[in-house]
Amino acid sequence: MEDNLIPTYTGVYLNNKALFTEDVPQLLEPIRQQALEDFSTLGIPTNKLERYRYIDLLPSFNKKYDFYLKPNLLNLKIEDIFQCDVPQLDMKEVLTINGFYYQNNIFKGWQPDGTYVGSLRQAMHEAPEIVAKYLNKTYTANDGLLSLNSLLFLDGLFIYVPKNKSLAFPLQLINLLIANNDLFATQRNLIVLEENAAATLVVCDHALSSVQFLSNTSTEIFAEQNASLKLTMLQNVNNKATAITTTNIHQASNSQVHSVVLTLHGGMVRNNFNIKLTGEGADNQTHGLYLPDASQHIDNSVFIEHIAPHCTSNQLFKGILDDTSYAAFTGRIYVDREAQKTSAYQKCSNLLLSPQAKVNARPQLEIYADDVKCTHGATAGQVNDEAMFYLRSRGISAQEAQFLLTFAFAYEVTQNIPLGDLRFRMEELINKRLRKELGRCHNCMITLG
Amino acid sequence: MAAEQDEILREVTGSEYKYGFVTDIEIETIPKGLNEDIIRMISAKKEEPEFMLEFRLKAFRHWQKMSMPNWAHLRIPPIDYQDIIYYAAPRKKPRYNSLDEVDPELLETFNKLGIPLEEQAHLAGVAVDAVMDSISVKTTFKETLAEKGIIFCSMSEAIREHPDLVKKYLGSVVPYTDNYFAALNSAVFSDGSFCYIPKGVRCPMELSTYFRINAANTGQFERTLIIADDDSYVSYLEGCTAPMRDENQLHAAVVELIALNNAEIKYSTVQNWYPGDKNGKGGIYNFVTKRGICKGNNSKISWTQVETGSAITWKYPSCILRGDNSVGEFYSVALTNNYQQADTGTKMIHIGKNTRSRIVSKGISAGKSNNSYRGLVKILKTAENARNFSQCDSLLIGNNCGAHTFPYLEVENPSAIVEHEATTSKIGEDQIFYCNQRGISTEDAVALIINGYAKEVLNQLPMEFAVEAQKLLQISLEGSVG
Repeated sequence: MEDNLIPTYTGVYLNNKALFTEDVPQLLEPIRQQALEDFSTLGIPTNKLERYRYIDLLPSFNKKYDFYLKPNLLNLKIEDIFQCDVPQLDMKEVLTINGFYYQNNIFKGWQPDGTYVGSLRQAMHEAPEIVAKYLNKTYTANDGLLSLNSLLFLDGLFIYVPKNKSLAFPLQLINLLIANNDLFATQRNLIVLEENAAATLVVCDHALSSVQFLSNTSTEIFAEQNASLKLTMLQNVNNKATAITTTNIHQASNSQVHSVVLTLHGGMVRNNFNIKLTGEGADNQTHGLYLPDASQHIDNSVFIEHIAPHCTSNQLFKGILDDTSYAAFTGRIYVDREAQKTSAYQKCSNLLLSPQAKVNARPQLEIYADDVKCTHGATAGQVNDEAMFYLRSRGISAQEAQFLLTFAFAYEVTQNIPLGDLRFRMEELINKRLRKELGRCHNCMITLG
Repeated sequence: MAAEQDEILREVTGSEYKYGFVTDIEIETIPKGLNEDIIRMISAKKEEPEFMLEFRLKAFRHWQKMSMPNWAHLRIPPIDYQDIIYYAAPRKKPRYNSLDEVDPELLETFNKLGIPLEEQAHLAGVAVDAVMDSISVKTTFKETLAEKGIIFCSMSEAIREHPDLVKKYLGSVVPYTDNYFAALNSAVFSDGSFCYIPKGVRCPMELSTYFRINAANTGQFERTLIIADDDSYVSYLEGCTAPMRDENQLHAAVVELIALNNAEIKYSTVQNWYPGDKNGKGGIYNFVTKRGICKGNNSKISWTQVETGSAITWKYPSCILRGDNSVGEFYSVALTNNYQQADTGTKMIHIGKNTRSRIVSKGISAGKSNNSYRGLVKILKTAENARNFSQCDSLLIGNNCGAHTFPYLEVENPSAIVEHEATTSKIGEDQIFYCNQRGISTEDAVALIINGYAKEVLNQLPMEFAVEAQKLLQISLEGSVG
């Protein structure tokens, strides 16, 4: 089955070769060539691979999809049907549609202060040196899905913040999926923060149609010396979708990247984080919260490489599982021989609310340096009986007590969301989700009916 | 101070194997290689009944279809399975009635190993079933055990004399289809120990076996089967040492434990096979499948291991907790030095209600070695109120080694509570300073700290073993420690 899939996907590239390299062949051709070779050998990862042991992506890939290769196929003003209604958010928003940067976005490239917010495709012409310096530089040939992304991406968001500058506003990226037929979407984002630069980014995924989507998104993040990025990802697509994200982060000395990923909805979600701490004193925080219900399948995989000494990293992933949902977490901390004085922490806790829910956790350590502090922990269980009793004895109903405790369990992650309003909004969403009242933001709800 | 510590570390990590010597005994072997004829030959030599030959052949045919597992964090050089002699037995093969009849050189070997066969048997009350290159040489205390109805004998003897029990249980916990090395073992196993504890009997003494690989180019493939019937108890000790050889030797054993209602089996191992020299040349490949099943309600299986030897260790003593309220335990100290590699841990499969398991693993890496813990805790849907606690600590000595942890938690029942904790650290400079300050030399301090670190596991060993294990940890880090 897998063998037949490779030509299906490489075919998309080979039959439209001109389209994939037309503007800037010297930049893109080597990338495509490498990706084509690697994908042809790696293929779609099966659950026989140790890294993909707990997720079977083949059924999702083994379907017929439309491929969205040109941006203007949809002749509609997206503003008319979609508006993110997270209230009172002091954020600027930009949209992508099926992997393409939306043409009516308020940001269209170079900003007066020297930063760049715009389409990656466009940036290949407008900021060719910068794109050439960073694009695909986090690529490693060990994951078929990443190779496939490198082969098929056409556009995405590009952010560049030069030395000593910061993005003046929190930026909200909304990735929309909209189609009449089942659709395969590929997107590549590139975020470059130079020395002392800073940015805050919120990424939301939405599906506006109830067809089957398979999205393969990859984000490359470069944080140079002292740069700081705060990243929040909210995954809230429909339960028929399969979402694959790969976030590759390279951090130079004393840089900070703090990410929080919240997965509220999504039929099958696979999040890969590959983080490389290459400069001394780099700090990485990666937090995740997943709340699957129905028959969702959520799989987070975090790989942190400590290459340089004196770096810190912290992973905290929490799951609340309901119905027949299934969640998996794989975290791996790799500490190189040179990376002395590393502090690395990793924790994965899970609450199982239903007898049919399943969870798998693999917190792994691979350590080659002796002067390090590394700990990891994983738990799976249910709401603490004593805590329940405490609340019940104070007249709180069993159901309410369960909500309170579950919410408190989630709070350890949500408290790390950087923007106050956003945090408040997320907590509200989680609250509603736990009460099974409302699964998504208002407008998406309305559009979907 | 730093220089002194470096010096000590070098000594510690540079020490060589103490038990290397070859015993000159005439050995009867069969030709090299592995095919159906060889298997028929082994079976014939051992005068086995027909069902055993079939068992072996089925396993062999299955093995041919399999390939070496490669998921472990190990670098295993290719093994030529046709270049191994699969059967070696001491040529003189009489049934000994007293120790005097035993080849004196063989006895000398045991003495060098510090196993005073007779003495130990008398003084410590231990029945020793010494296996040397696949054939049981001497079984002591057999009569005492027989009075209680306990069967403790070599596997070959069990096959001949208790075929019903063997037929019923052999391969029931580790089927030949289980994995590559289990299939290989099922096809060619030479000998091993068999133990049956009847209903309601508490085995009055620790049962013990020393395995020893000796003849050049012979793999050792033992097979151990322990059955504890209802309400019985047994504690079994296994200790291993192998002489020094340049070529790598293969050891693929299978151990099966079966605990019926209310039974308890305690299995302790001290493994000190030749780990290869300072440059990583030679050493034993230790690919062992050990698994116990808590078949009955309220049963208990406890594995304790101290692993200091072997060039490559691939070993996961596991418990299948099928009976309600059954308990599985795993205590391990794994020490690697020089170029040793170890990928070891456990599997706890919870099936019955209220099953509990506990994992305590202590890894110590020194030199250029790599030491991995790999463990699976699986809670199936049926395992109401299952409980697991795992703790895996790693200690690194020097900065050329690696310590890794690969736990797998798979939970399918919401009433389960599963916890895993792990830490990685080195011997603290402040701890050594504290000891130095009180007049304890650095090398003594390191010994003290290592032993303190491993104490939680060593405490689980029967007394005779605990002493030996403690010494072994010190010898393995020799130079200064202890």
